[in-house]
Amino acid sequence: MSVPQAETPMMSQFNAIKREHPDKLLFYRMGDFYEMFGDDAIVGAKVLQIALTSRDKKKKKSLPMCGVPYKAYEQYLNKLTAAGYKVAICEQMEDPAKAQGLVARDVVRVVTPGTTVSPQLIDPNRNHFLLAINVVLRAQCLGIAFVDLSTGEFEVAEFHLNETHRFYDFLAQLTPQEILLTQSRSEIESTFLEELVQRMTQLLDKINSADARSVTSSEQISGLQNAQVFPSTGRFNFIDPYHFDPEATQRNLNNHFETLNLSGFGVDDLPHGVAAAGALLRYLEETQKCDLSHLTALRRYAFDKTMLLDEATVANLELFESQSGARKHTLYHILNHTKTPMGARLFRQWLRQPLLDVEAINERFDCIEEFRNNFMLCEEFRECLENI
Amino acid sequence: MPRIIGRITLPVVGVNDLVALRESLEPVQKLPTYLAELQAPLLKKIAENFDPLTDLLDLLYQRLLEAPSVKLREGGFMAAGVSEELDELREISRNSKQFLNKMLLHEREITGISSLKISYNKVFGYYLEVSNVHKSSVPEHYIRKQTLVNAERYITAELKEFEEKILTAEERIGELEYELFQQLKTEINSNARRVQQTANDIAVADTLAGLAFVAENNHYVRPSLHPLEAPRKLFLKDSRHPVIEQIDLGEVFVPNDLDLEESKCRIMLITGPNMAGKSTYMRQVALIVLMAQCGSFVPVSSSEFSVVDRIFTRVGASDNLTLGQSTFMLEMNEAAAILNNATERSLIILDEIGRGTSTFDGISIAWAIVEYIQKLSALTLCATHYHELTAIAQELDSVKNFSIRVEEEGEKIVFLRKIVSGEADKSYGVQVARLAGLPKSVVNRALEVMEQLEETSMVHHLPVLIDETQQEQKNSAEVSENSGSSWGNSVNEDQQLSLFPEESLYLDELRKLNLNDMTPLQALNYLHELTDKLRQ
Repeated sequence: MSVPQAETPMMSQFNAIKREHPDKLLFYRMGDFYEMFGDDAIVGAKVLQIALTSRDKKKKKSLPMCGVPYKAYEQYLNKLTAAGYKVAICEQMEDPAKAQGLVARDVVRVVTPGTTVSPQLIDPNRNHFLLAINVVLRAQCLGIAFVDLSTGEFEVAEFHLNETHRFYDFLAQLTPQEILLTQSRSEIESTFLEELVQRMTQLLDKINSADARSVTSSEQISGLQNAQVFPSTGRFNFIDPYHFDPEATQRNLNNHFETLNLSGFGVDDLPHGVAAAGALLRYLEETQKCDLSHLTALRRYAFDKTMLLDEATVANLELFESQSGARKHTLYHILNHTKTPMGARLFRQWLRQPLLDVEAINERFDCIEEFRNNFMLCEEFRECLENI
Repeated sequence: MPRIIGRITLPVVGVNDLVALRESLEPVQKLPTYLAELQAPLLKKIAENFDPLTDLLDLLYQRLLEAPSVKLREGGFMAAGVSEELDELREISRNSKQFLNKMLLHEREITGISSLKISYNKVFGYYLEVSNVHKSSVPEHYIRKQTLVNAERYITAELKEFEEKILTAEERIGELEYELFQQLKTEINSNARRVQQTANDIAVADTLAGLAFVAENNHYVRPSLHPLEAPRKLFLKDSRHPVIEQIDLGEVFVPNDLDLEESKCRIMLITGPNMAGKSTYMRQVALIVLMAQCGSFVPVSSSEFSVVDRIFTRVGASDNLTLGQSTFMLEMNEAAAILNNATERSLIILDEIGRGTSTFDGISIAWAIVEYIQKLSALTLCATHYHELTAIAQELDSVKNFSIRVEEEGEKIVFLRKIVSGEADKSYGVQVARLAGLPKSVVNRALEVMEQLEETSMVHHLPVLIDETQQEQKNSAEVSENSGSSWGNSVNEDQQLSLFPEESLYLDELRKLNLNDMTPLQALNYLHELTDKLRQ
């Protein structure tokens, strides 16, 4: 970043904060605006299509800057996260009128594609997942954990490396918005990671482009032109391997859930998945800087009880979108008569994860039969749900 | 609802979000009444533990106004009775005149000065004015501020306190309401787990009720399911395509049956012209199995089948050209994924496998794949327009031929969309071409060419590939000759003829090949090599 020779106190404060968040765009609160400076400003102005100006126009090498009004910042923030950028929001920590000298500022929140909870960016009928993958080559295992910050779903699983196809099917099923990976510590690891990232990118690009197609054809997400098309750079985050450390992550999770151990969640036999969950939690704590108490439990992802549908089959059978990209003539559209957003999300999961256990299936059948036999009740019940 | 909880600790969550939560909790109160009437175990379990979060609803009503202002910094949303200070502040700002009157009367009473006035000016705010006549009756706690010709002006601590309140009331109201609102958010957030649980329960009940609704509306029937471990079976009576039957195409949807059983028929080989409905039929079977395993009733008149561990589909090659992979490669990738991952408990749907390459390659690959699946023993539906493939049913007991009925009216054809046992008598490709609007002269010429080809009966001997008998060898020699002469009319005469000596070399090589020792992938690679050589 180009820095003017004589730094003003404010600029040195900015630079200090920016150094802590080199991979993010820094929204630096100044009065009624969040300002971006330097390279951030160049990127921000381009993505947001706002005017790029500079701090001091008279100087030759002046620092580029651009800003968004504090009152309407969310829409700008959304545009940036939708485009795959991470944004650190730096607030004034004291009342400027009362402050002596430079106002103290600090980053209060980091918004990333996987952690956004903005309603404009989240389709109410779908989950919005952040995924962490713990690559443990010596155990031949991928430990994974995922969370939907907006609903509090938090689950873990493990995949053996000789069943990576299951992992990719799972990934296609989950379609996470953001993925955390460990930085590689060895050459073997980096080769492995490279391949993993490449395959995941291919897979998710395919799904996302299909999504983007169907979004433009049927629904409009307000004011967002390229909401679904994440550049692969913003989708993956490589974090310090230490964050996946088994002991540290256990401690962290126990602290969060206020438990002595994690046995109560029934995930003891998934140590690598649990480590991924710990890394995920830490990432959230660092980026969100706020209460995560709505993440109330860790669950085991029940992929051994459900049928994994590969992406080709989901596409071929036109479960969620037809070959033409429309959503109307799909199984989901025909069968989904849920009345609430959580119902719609659950039904999407059911359709994505058919059951294998006959008893569990029959349990559902029994309910449907009963509702059908009391169809008046069923209708009244559904009417009531409509207002939730 | 759970989404509001997810956001609740964030600064962006405002009054409108909590009002939305309150509104959505209102109908939740009625749910237990409905749930109580249900006996099915899954619903009963929900009913028994259902938490309508009434206390949260009460809390929200108690704390938030009926129709609150949504401006978080300006106040006007917290209900009365939440905070004494707030109530007082509001009282002050709303009733400042009355308040002053009250105070005035009170002061007059205690001082006995009937001409006492309360006024306001910009210099020192509110003050009490006493005319000189009553100066002596002024109590001690009055502080003199100004002396006029005929009056004195005083303030009191009480009055200043009131003034302070009134002037800062608005500001303080904003701050206080904001604080109280944050407290409310924290309180609600401490119930996050309960809200999530309730939302989960509602989601399950909602989904099931939705499925009941669609089952009733679309006349679905409860399937009879066998466990994964049971002998494999797939029986459907009058099955319909759940999506297509809902689309109005100006044509009645023709239901079809299906009867696969592990011990009798495992592979259904469907022939018939394009457009006749092979793909629709196969997709509908896969969809019905999938629907059932998701817990939905299905569009049949009756059905009985065993649960499958996976559903694999390889359907027509058309998509993904943009990704730069060749259609054939893609098709083979998908086929490889199926063959490598399918188990005997899987349901496999293969539509026009091997279509992305030449007829010769295509049939061979399709043949080898069907054989492989037959050994794998998975229940399979396989559609092909390679008529030659039907011969496989004679060799393998578990493979049965089926076709889609087509009626011929002169040179025209009518699709009856009905699956019948037995292979199709011919492929009707040319007739379909006519339906598609190909120029008449082209269609007529095609019919001519076809007649000639049929005379040579060349195509019927392609399955030779996997047989090694002398008889077949002889036939294939005939094929070469016949084909040669039939292509006599062709423009490419020289080219075609010159290929034959070389080709027979490869035929020899093929004869020596033992397919049983090869994996499908090896076979595929081999075929690839072979076609490469042939093309050179």
